[in-house]
Amino acid sequence: MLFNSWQFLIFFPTVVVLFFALPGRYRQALLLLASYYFYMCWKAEYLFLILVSTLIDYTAGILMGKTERLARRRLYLILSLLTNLGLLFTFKYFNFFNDSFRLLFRHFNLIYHVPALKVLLPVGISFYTFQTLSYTIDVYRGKKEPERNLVVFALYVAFFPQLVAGPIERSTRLLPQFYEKMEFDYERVKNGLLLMAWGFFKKVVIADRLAIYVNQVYGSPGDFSGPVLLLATYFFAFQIYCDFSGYSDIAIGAAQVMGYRLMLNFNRPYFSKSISEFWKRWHISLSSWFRDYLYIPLGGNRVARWRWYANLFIVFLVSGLWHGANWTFVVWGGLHGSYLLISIWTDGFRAFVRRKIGLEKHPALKKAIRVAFTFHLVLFSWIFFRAQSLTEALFIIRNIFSNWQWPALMTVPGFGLTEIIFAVASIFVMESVHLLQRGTAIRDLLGRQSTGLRWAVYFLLVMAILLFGAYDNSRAFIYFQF
Amino acid sequence: MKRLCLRILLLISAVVVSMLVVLAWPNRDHNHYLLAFWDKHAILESTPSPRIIIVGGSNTVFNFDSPWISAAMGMPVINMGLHAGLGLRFMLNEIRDEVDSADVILIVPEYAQFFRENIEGGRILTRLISLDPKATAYLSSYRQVLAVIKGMGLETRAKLLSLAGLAESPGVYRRDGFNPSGDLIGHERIAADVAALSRQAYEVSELANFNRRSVTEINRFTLSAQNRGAKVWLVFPAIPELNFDRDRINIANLAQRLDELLKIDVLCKPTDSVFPLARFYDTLYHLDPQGREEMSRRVVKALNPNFPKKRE
Repeated sequence: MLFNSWQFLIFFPTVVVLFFALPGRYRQALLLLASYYFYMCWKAEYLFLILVSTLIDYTAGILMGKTERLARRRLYLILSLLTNLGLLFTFKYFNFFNDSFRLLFRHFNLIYHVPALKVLLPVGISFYTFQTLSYTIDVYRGKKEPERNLVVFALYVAFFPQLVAGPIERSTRLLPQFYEKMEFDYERVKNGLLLMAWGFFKKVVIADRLAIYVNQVYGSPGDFSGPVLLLATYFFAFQIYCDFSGYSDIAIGAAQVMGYRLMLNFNRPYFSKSISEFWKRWHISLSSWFRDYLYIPLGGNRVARWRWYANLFIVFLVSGLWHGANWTFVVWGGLHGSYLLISIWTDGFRAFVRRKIGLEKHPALKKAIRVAFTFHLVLFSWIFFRAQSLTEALFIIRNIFSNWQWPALMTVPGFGLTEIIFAVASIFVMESVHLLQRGTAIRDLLGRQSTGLRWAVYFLLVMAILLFGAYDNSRAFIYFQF
Repeated sequence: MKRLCLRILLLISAVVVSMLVVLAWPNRDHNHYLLAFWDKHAILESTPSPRIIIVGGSNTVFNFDSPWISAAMGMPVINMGLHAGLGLRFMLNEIRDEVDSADVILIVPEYAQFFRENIEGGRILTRLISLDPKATAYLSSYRQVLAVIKGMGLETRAKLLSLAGLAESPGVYRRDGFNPSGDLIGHERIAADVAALSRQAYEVSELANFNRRSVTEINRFTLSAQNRGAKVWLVFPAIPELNFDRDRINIANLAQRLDELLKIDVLCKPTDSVFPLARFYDTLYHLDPQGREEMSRRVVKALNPNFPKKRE
């Protein structure tokens, strides 16, 4: 079930009304059933994978809690890791590595006969696998007591607002909340709904509109000239941000309506002044997951310098691969890793240049330059992320500055000047809101305004979603494929 | 919770009322393409039977030369096509009560109209009703009403743009672009953009998405027309060679399913309606004037054996 579907429009209010109508002891079961139904709307069979993950990790947690022996605990952890990563590998990566090996063998004229698996990628498998893994690792490390209530644990794995595209929650944060008594709180519910509406605005008004342009251009880049390729790349940067952060806003808002607090997943990432800052603001739940469960176990920065650099690079490569089973994602991750390493290596030199040209005396200008530079580094990497193959990505890079004729921008079918103006204007509205909420959340800012102004904003927001959303071809959220 | 529900209800009411006000705002464009709807009904009502009535979407508007078919068959031809977005059910409802005993009806649905909910129409139905609420007379199912409601957001936006003078140029899609038989002829001197055509998407869906209601509706219409003494045929729509080849299996599956379920004969099979891309005009559904001539010739050739008396 998509958040931006008629079904969700019926499903969500029904669940909320039942949630508050039922006594507390039944709410966990209600949410679990609702979550399973939500997931089964895609492909009912794949619920089996969630059930397997749930049972394995629940049992592993319980068994780890029963023994003090490290070797035993490690054995249970390894069993959990093997099961979860095994499922992830089978459904997401097997065909990718299989194809890569086939190409490699063919290159050396060797015979390779492993057949491809005919399986569909289960929606959200990377998200719930990482969420449940964090639980077993935390239990192993002794940071979390094993969860004994199977319903609550199953709900932690499958909680529908964040099941298919995050935020990837930690057991230490989310599990205790399922035991809290959630009362109906008008302000909280209102704020949750407002956040959902903002998420819908980002998704259907901005992301889905930009998708019309981006999909056509990146679908056949050879048909378009330089300016179109460039504009499509800019559009994709905002499309993926609005798509994913829009989903996160809806997820966080939906959970908030029922009283649950999910972690912030995006914090105005395109205002970052450096790549390291970008990764503290983009998909925060994933980057912090990699920090806690991969980077630090690898040794983090408390190792020899070369090992630190290697650790950073490995984390970004794995992060790239997490996003998709394609070399384009690996290159994307590698690019970000390289950016980070180069920024570390050139830190002193860049400070020297800034001092020499007097940029330190103009902090606002310095910040603007750094934000613009970081944004364009990220933008360049998005080409690899969006392209269907490395060949196409390189084709786009080679051709992005060729055939520069402005009227060419309007050659994408179904996306004339009016559509371009709408797209740019909606991005402008969003970024203006981002600028407004630098110090205070926009909801708090809004809460201080008069009733008339607040209602005008609500009205305009709903009208914008209904009137300016792109509904012609219902689009799934990009991050579902990861 | 009561307070919240009341406020949400109030907000929804404000939004709906605002949209209705915009949609009901008097239309300034009296040359709007969809207003040809009433012109076509006027032609139908004023043309005595026997006559050939062509029913379909915009494909029929571009793909038939009614005066030529009329001359070849010896009876007047009325092209009732306008837009596939009105839905197959609506198109059939339009002429159901107008059919006379000696009439010949050619139903030319788009492939898409056999799949999913396309039989019920889409936002174009909302637009037509906002232009002239009398068109609601041809709504006969709650699904059509839902389609109208679903289209309200986008149509409110289109109306706002139109009122602000920001609507995109209608090009050849104008009420005054039709000939007296209901064919669109405004594009005859404008060259087609084949490069743009090759970028367009066109897909004949898999049988899994087949909507049986489309067949039920055609059969119901046929029974009613046959009871009045009329003849009804199905004509498959024009399709570019490339797309036909790509979706060959899906098309064959659909044709077979229709053969099993439909209670009317097929006048032009899918293979009879295949054309090279160069014969299309602005979309992969609309033929250029040369393609139109060829399609009309093929239809007349298929019709002739059924009308031996006319040929004598």
